[in-house]
Amino acid sequence: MKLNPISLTSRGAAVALLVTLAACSQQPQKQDSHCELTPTNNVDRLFAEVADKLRDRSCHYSYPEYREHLLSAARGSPGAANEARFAGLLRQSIDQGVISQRQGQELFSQYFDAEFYVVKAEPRSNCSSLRKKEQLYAAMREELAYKREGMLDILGDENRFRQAQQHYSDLHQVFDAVEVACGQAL
Amino acid sequence: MKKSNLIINKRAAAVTLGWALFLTQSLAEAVPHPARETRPKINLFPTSVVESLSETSRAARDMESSMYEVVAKLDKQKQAYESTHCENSEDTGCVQLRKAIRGSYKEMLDVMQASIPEMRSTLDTTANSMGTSLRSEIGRKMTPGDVQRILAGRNASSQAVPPFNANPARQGKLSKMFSRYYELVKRGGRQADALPVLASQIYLDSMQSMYYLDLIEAEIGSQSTELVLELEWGELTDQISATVTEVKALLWGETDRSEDILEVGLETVSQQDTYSDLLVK
Repeated sequence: MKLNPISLTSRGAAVALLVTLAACSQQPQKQDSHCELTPTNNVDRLFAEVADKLRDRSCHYSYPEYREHLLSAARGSPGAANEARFAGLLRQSIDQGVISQRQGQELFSQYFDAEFYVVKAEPRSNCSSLRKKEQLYAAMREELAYKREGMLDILGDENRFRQAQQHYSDLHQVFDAVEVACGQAL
Repeated sequence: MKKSNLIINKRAAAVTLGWALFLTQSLAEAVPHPARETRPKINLFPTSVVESLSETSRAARDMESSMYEVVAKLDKQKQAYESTHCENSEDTGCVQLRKAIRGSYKEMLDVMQASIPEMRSTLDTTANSMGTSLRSEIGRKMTPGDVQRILAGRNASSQAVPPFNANPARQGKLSKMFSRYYELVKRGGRQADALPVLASQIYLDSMQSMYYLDLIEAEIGSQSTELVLELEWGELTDQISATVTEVKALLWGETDRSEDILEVGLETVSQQDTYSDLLVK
């Protein structure tokens, strides 16, 4: 039985192509599986696993997914201890350079601080910043939703969420009045 | 020789002065300071604001006192009119009752018309001085974050606020609202954290009251003219009844929400020292 050299060459090329394709497709798969989290409902185990994965720089890109996993797991097991878990992980993330100090503060404040990060982050005077009051209010509403998730769903801390709501309404009241007062001077 | 001595003396003096400055500074650092007030200081209620609040409260009380009798008379006449089924009747008694109601109504409008200018003037003064305070102290000197910092420090001060003893004497909505504001401002030093909220409420309420006073005054003006010209109003009592109800709501309020003021800004906030590194100051 004779083998056609052309057919042999083309078969060889096809095999080589397949091997290359397989190699290309396997490379990212290997990375993904390496950074993937083991499915679990145990919050402590999940936090420990994320902390462990984040020691590997190649898993830093999975940080947003990890965050979603952790939030979801914490929602399923609400309690005061979740605050320390998130704080610990954020501190580690800052230390390892996964996120900046500012990003860490923003994340923590948005979910667990009764005060509003978006309000603290506004550098201009009230008369200037309240010219875009509606944007500020929209950002505050969005942050209040994060606080609801963080304080009610994750910590189960109704009192703290009430404080956030009180802040929200007090700030609205003051900003409304100051905006009118600033406008009267024009 | 003398010149070099002079230079040495100057150097010695400079070194001594330097050391003295250093020591003074070190001593100043070493002396424990009382807890430093990190929150911005504001003066939202200068004397002029407190005085105008007191004046507004008095003017509102005067207006309500002068209105009370005539509104009560109108209420009685209205009840008699309804209970005798005078509606659409041309009976002499009913016609006379309608005239009496018209007269009382005109009297009420006159009293209101006489009171409104003073009321509006004091409200205008309060709104202006409060607006100036808010603009200069909060609007221009502070950022939104500063406001939040002040509100967040309310915990310690709110405990020092004594419960407000409501005056058992009858007080109308406007006068009650402003006298409460006046009382709260008078003892405001103790609850400085809630003051921006209080100032904002006073300002917005003053502006809103002025707006309604203008509307009522315009309405009174047109109705008085019609009464003077003795135009036919059809079923007069309907309009009278509606206006009286509105005036009563403005002066005494259908539902008195002035109690709510006391709750504003007095909630407690706990410190989260444990996570201070993750919180923005």
